Amino acid sequence: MLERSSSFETLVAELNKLPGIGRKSAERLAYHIIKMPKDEALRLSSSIKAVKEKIFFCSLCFNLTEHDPCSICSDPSRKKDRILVVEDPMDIAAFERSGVYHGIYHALQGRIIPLKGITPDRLRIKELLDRIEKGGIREVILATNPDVEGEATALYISKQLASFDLEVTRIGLGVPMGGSLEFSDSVTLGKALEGRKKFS
Amino acid sequence: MSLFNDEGFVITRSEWKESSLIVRFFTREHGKLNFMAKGIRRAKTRIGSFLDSFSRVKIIYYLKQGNDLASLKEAFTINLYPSLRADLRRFAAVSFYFEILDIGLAPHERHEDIFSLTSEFLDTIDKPEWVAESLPWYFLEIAGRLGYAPRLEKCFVCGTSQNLAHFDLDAGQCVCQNCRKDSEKVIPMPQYLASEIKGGVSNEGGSIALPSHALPDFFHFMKDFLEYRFEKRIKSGDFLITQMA
Repeated sequence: MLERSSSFETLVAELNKLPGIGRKSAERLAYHIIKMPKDEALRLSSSIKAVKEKIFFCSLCFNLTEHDPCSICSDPSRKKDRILVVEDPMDIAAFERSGVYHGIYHALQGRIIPLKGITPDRLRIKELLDRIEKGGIREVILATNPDVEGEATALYISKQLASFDLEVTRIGLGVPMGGSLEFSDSVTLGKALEGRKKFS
Repeated sequence: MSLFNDEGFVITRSEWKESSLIVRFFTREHGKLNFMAKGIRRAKTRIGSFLDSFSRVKIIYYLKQGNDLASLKEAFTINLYPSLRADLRRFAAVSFYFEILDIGLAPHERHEDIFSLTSEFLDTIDKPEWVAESLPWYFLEIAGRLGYAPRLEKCFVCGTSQNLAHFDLDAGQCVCQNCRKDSEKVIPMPQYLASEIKGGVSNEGGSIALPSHALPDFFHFMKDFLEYRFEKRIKSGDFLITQMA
């Protein structure tokens, strides 16, 4: 049994602030860190320090980066006339893993959730409009999540873009690969039908 | 621990760990209740539905007496109210309604009348022919059923129904130009709001129809009034007022 010290309590309190970590889990993690070899624990500590010092948001697309602009925005092989709008940098990572998109991105850093006080002015929508105003963009692909808040965010942005001379598209929505039609809800099936393609 | 077969409306969702959600429901049987929905964010979840905000869902869950968190076993979406995804005014109005429910309802208290009103509100707002002018009735009704109905018929001091241009937050009633006192608890209110609303409060079925230009004023008033009563900010209020302008 460890005698409770202030440094232990401080560590538990800090871990407890992380998402999904309750008091019990924080204590378990703190005990684990105490039992770790010292060099391993210090590596963890210095990697936290390093990401806080080196990683920031790209000033153009708001992706996470160590260089500004990020590697995607500064890549000359990327198609710069097409912006894919996502909620978070994690979504950029998901599209990059797919390897199917070769344009540039814009991370809104959230979506409209009025109940949580997240309104359009709290997102990076103004910065998106500024990028488009500078010219050269022919298509904006709205890839917010297909839930009610994500759809509302896409709808809001599409209204803001109505005055620009460009194509505004929404990613295809519908039945997931490997999913089952039988268990799909009516909205999903409706979206799948709306987005149907000619069989070629 | 008992197993319940129930239905409810999703009020809010918060991500929990890698693939789970904590979902707050307004259920028919147990009122406002938090649920742990384990693994629900995975594409192939065993729970069976993705629990979108404001959707109506059939739910089977475990609940231990005295426990604040129910465990969701199965869920099946009854209605996702698709119009909310295609109209920002409907989305904003439902967000405001659900935030009022979230603040106003005490946990674990069954409210069959409020459940029915919520069902009717969502069914109405989802109809293609819905008009925003029908909203005030539902908001006055939900405020009333939660115990916070504003009284707009007459001045609560002298009883006149003329010049009702202010509202006393403490009294929860209108006050006329002559009787009003200068206080931060007395807020200005457009006169037409009192005269339009007072005739319709007792009508059934959403029959108050404020003209559309009055809607921002109405929601401004409801937001100020309910925030004072709840002693809490209603975060979705400003977004709704913007959408109604």
